[in-house]
Amino acid sequence: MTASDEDLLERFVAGDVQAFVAFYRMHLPAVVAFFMRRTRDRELSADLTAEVFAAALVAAPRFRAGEYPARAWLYGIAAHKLADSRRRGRVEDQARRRLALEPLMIDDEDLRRVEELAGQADAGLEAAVDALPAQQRDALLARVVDERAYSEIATQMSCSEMVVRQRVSRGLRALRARFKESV
Amino acid sequence: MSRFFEELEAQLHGAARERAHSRVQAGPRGRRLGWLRTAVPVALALSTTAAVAALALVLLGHQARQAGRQAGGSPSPPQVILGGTPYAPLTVTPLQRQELGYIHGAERRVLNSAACRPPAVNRTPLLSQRTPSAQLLSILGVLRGPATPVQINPDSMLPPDGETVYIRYVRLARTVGRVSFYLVPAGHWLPIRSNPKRCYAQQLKALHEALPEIPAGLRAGTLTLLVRQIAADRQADRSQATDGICLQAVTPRGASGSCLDSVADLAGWGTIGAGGTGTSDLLTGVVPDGVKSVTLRFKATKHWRALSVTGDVVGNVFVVRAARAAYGLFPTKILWRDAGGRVVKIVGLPWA
Repeated sequence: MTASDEDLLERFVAGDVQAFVAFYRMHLPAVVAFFMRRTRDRELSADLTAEVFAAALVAAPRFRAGEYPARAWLYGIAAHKLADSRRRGRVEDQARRRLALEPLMIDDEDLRRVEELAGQADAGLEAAVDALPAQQRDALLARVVDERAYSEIATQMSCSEMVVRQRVSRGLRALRARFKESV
Repeated sequence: MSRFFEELEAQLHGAARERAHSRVQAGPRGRRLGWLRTAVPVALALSTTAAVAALALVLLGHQARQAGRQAGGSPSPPQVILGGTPYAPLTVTPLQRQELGYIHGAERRVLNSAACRPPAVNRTPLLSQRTPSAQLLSILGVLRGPATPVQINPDSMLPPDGETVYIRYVRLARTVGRVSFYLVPAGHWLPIRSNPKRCYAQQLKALHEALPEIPAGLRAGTLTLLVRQIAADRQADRSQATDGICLQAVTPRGASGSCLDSVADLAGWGTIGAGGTGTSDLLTGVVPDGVKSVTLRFKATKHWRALSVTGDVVGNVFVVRAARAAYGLFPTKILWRDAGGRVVKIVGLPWA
């Protein structure tokens, strides 16, 4: 996370409209990838992404630099919107309605763009995961991506649950160090 | 053409501006509003000058809209034609997308009014027993060949705007996997006009009224874009009807396709499109007689190596598989080859 993220939000709150556009452009791929990894649905990801940025625009004045990274703040909104959509069975458009944004159509080309954006964000992460030691990488993917239980992973890897936890923890720490931020 | 995220950006920009404006209005710096009121007419005058100067230019995206059409009512994803000529790309710059977003926002009320709403389109094509123009027949040998059994429901046949389909000349060009590619000649083709021409002045007036809400840096470009669109619409109003060709992909899920309404463009540049085939990695197109194979050349991108892939032409239609097509990437060059494999023409697609 670079300090410019927080700067952009502060500048926007101070009246610099372009700062929010820059914030949007900077984080669009990451937010799209966030939803794609969790929903595997391009249209849903695009819809949720639009709502997240609208919500971020509304909430920006409440953002306090220094309390936590801007990206974590944005992911917090994303996670909330995702949980909300799963609970309600549809994507809320509360923030977009509040801003009087027009409904957007999405076509095949847009859907391909969703994949492209997600790919952009994932490319760096994939490379970082690939660079991990094999045991750390396997444990991390099994736990974080496949969401399998520690005990199950331990059985498969013929080691104790504690060892699996350590491998996952070390893998995450290595990724954080690589990106110099908390994910 | 991808628009969702660009339009979202434009909308967020507008909303951000509005909220920033509200904060300024509510705060102690209200004097800035006085400056804005003075500045807007100046900006308007500058914008108008720039727009008039650009009147002679033809909007690239608008040309392409005339060049390519899509079939409606199909369960398959619509095929997208990239453009009839290298001078009519469908792609527009991100800045133009933003400007288009503001244009659409401003003219929405006008075009939704009863007086300006686009006329209802008769989606059932007229089926004619007549013969297409000699010009069209002379460049597409498959149309001159014997009739083939046609398994397209006439109701779903292109084009959607009430033009005439020369039903006796519909041909099955080729079949790839479970997809059948038909060439459908169509005639009496008038360029698409999105709304009645009497509404041009109202569209302009609406945009002028919305200009203060548009970021200052985009006002001139946005106004220019609308003026160019209207100029192209007026030109289209004067156009003569012509024959064209549609490439229709029929899959077990349904049918969809795209059309090119210029025989000259077809002879000169052919077509290339994607989608509508039930799989997203097929690129298809129509080429004139004499072209026996095509080589599509893709330039390297951040995530893809440069690629050159060749496919044969059957029935004036090529079908080439390229995984990157699923990601919206198109070749930058198309090489036409004769029966001996010699390159007879290189069609550049500089916008791809």
